[in-house]
Amino acid sequence: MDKRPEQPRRDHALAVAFVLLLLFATPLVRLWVETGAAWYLPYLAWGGVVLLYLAPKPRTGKRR
Amino acid sequence: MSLELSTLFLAGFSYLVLLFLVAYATDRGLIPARWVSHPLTYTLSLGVYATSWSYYGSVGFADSDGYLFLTIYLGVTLAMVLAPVLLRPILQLTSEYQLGSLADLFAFRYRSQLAGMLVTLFMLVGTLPYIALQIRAVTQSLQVLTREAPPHTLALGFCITLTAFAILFGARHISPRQKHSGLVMAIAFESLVKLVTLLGVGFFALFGVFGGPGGLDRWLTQHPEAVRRLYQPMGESPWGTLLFLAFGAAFLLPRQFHMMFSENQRPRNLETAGWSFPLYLLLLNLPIPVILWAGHRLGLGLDPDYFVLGITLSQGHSWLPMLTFIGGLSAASAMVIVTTLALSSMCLNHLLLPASYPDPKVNLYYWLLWGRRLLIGLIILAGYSFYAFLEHRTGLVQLGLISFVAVAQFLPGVAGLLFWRRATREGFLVGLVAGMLVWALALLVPLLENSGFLHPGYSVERLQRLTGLEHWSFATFWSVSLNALLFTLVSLFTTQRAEEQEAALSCCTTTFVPLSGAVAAASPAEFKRELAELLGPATADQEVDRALADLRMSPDESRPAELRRLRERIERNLYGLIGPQMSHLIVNRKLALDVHARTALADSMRYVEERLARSRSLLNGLARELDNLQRYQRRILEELPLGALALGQDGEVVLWNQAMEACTGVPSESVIGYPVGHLPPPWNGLLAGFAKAGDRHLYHTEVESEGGTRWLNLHKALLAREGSGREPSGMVILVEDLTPMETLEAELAHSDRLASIGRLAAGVAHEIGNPLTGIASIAQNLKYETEREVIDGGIDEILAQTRRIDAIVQSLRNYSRASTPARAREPVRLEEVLRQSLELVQLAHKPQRLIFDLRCEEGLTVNGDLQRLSQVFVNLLSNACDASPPGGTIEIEAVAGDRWVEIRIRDHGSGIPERIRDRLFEPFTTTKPPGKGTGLGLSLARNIVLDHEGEIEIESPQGRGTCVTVRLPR
Repeated sequence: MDKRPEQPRRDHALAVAFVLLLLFATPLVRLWVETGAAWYLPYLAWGGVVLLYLAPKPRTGKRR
Repeated sequence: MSLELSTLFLAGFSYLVLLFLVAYATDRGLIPARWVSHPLTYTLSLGVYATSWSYYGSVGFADSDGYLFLTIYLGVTLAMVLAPVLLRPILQLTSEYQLGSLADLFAFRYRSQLAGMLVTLFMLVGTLPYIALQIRAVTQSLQVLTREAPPHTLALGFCITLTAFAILFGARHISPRQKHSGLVMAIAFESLVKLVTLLGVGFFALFGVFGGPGGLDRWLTQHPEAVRRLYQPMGESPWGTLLFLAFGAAFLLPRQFHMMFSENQRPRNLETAGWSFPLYLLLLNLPIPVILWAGHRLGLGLDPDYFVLGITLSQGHSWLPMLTFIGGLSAASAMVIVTTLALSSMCLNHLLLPASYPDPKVNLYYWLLWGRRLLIGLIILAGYSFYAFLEHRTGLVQLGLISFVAVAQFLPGVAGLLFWRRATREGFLVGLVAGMLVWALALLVPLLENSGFLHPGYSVERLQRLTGLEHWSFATFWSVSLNALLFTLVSLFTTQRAEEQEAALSCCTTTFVPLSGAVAAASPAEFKRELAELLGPATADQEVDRALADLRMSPDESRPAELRRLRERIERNLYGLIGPQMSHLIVNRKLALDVHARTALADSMRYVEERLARSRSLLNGLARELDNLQRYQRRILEELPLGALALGQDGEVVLWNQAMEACTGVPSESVIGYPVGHLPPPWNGLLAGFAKAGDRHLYHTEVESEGGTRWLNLHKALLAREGSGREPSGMVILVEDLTPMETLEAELAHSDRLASIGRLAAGVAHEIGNPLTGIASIAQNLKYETEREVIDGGIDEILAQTRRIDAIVQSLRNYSRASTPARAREPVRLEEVLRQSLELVQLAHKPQRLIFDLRCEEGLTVNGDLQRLSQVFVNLLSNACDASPPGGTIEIEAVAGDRWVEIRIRDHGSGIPERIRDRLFEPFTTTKPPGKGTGLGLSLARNIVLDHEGEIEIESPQGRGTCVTVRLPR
């Protein structure tokens, strides 16, 4: 079983989910339509979310 | 260019055989187990999500609705990103309780056979369009490649082949509980084939059709509407709806649930899949726009759903379209196989078993195996029937989305399962039925109407226009909203049953559920007998043995708390075999619980401590401090130098610390959880008796155990329960081991006696010397004596003196003998004790010419230890002699009272100084100069008297002598 602390992972997951929704489920998505973005831009954004998920988890803020 | 049907059939069949061989090799161990449990394998196995819809239909979807096709995968990405919050708890539940399907999960949570049945039925109806979609994709792809309509029997042949392979993949083994490593590996392989072929087609489209990225850019510059059409639908309805539907489908579709949870080989893989599966989907969808534009560039007169095949046919190589076809077949077959396996398990547990439970004489495992095989065939046949009678103009995407909306109806139930303990069975059922009804009216009925089966008499389009919502948003919004609303309202107005509450607590992973109640069956053997009535003897034996092995429990186990754990384990193991509800019914009926029996405290404590130990790293703040405090207090009790044991309300041992182990030689693990009467002798009698007795203290108890005789003080206290008038919740017993102290005291007494003898040495030498001198002079005279009478007289005198010496030596020997703490009590004649003591004392004090006045009533006896009582009187008489002036008198009087015998020793010396009178009985208190006494005499004398349940007093007015009174019980 993963012994990493549970709470930071959950927080990180929620943060990444929020970014995903922000990029793809809010009126912000219309910006791509308006600005005539390249066809592969949604894929880049999607890939960016995947990379964000892979990023190191944030510290809890406790000093050791 | 076109291909031969027979060639395609052969290629397809060969590919399926290859898939089977991959599965077979894995099951045989030819493929290393670490590959099977690798996160990459798990990720690829989740790729079963991408079916013919993704492989073919995405291009058509992109053509009609632009980037809307991406929502089907972005929704999945959202679900995977939320794995720690959403998917991991489900995985923990399915692992812990061996729940193999969504129907099992709901039946477990809502404790309802009806819930399991309805979920299964809805899942079956909702998934049939999806199965039909796969069959259609394969037949239509054949049509594209062969440019002729395939015979109707081909689809049937495809279904029969899939049935055989589904049975081979997932219904070969007797026990349906086993994870199918072969299946996982085969599906992972299939996902890789899909990815490679689709990327290959994309690569071909980019370089073969456009001549490279530059060519594509030029084409796009010439056709700017191509990119604009892609972006146009973004953000507009049904963008959000499809994201929502894909989010639910990611883990609720039967095939996804099965691969994500039921076939999960290693829980940690879910963490990796959180990013790796979205990456897989990204790569799979990357070539879609390029393939679409390539199709347009080539001017293919095809349904855009099949541009994937069409563009490969355009270049004249037969291997590329063949390979592409294999990719599509792979996508379709994997979906059908896994979905069918998942649905067959659900149908078996929730439809077939409740409807016709097999006779216990039949081997349950074989019955389940053949039942499953039959259901696989029936489900695929149902899917074929749906395909055969369905109108063929409905696109692949439409069929897929109908299934997506169907499974979305389970979202409110899942949310309630994970996050809302208050949710009730009634709320779930009402919400689900309402949601599925709206789904049927909005989507299924129109589909059947288009195929000519129904004429419903209403128009969904009109209703949609009234609400202003497009088709999918209309169906999704109204079905899911009504579902959620009724779920919430009905749950709030209905009451949960006790077993629902228990299940709700289990599903909320942050809370724990201590076990309660006592099993009526008293042993594992009895468990087997009871379960055999419903499971059959062979199955019952296997299941009980399996649970015993899982818990590493002995077949002779009899502790109530352990039997309850065994019961729970058997129930959980049966979940995976026959579903949670059937398992619950069988175990409840045959291994009934007395729910009014008190909770076994030992078991609850162990349960709590185990859960705390597992969760320790997650605790913080006050919870962590409390946990640290609990562990510290536990350590205090464990390492207390006093023996401590705690008993629960039912008399079972809850605590048995290290000092108890040392004192009794009984290890704690053989004691904890057992009733106190279960302890080995003599501890069972002693502790159980003391626990029941009214006395709170028991002093100086002698116990004969294997390690020898021990002397103990016992103290107990009842543990009050909060709230007045309630019976105690248990008791704590402290055991003080006096054995070392007793041994030390005995050694000290012996040392004191030896020291006394040392002081007596001069007197002894004198006393022995006198008769020796007499013997020597008589012997000298006898040398020259001739008269018989004189000789005999002399010999008699010699013998008398010899006896005198012998008596002195014997009394010294008796007095100096080492004593043991084991005291032999016997009737002792007081006069004999006093005379012996007097003789010894007189040996040392003859020069003082003291007068000893002994007055002892005839026949006075006390129960005691002769040697130790002698030591008392030797010490007291020695002190009296030391205090008396030369020629003084020492009076020794022994009289009997009603219950006591009183012995008074009075001297007429100077008395005891006032400064030490209060400390007379303390060790090392003495008025004598160094070397004349150890200062232990009175202390030891007092201990010996007290040990004989007697009393000792000293009166010593200054200048008027000392009177020591010893009282001993008669």
